[in-house]
Amino acid sequence: MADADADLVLQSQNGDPSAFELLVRNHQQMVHALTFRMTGSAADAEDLAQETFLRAYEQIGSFNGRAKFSTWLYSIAVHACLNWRRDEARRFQAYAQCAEETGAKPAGAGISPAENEMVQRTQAALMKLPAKQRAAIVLTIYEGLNHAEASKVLGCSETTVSWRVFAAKRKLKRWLTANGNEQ
Amino acid sequence: MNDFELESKLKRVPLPARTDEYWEHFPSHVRSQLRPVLVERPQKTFLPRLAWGSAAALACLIFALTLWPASQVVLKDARVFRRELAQFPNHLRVFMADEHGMHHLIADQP
Repeated sequence: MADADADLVLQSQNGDPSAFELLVRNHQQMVHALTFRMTGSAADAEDLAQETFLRAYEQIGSFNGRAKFSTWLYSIAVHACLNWRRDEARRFQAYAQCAEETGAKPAGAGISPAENEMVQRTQAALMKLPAKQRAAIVLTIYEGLNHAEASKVLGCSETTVSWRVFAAKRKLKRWLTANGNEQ
Repeated sequence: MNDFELESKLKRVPLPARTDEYWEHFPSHVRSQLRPVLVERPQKTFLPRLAWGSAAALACLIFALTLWPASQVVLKDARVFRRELAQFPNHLRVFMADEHGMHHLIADQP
């Protein structure tokens, strides 16, 4: 755990909300990124990010410092996302809304219609994955964790993580083949 | 499509853009939602303390039942011995100890 985080965690464990606010400030972008990759919805990502930090504060007394604080936070965020329940139609509806938002805002600005379509297809393919496979892809590809670190976050073995990554990549490749057919 | 191409494609999906104002206010918004919580610190286990306490109590009990009465007998004998020596100075003839305690013999003449 980074020294700055260690001090802030200790202060938070002693019931100092201002220290926890600084922890939120330090990790908010990471948590928002993860919750968005997991849900495909900007609005749900915000709700889940908030829920993640509230749960983290409630459980901070149980954080023993053996793992990095960020790893512990990843674990809470991923499990919040895995418990996120929406029907498929609602999920894709949310994604479509978000895709429009990202296409209109600076992060998606300046890209060609073809590129925009590719981005939307990729995100849609990611959302079609089973949640646990999506979590494995998000942690290993987007967040850059190795399989050992991801296994700690997900609470499973490295072999399971490797299998989930392999299965997810196989599906994504099939869905995102050059001819544009997702099926 | 190989792994590298797939990862490149995945990484081109942008995150929703959020304003600086959002990032500025999000932490304080979370803080406003925090409820005072009873911090669950990892508790030290009770068993080692119990074991040490029990061992100390047992040691005290053994001392009380064995060594303490024996020491009291010795002290009592010593008190008697000193008192008689004080009454008959230079009359001590024999001094011995056996399983019944300490014994001495006082001579008629110094």
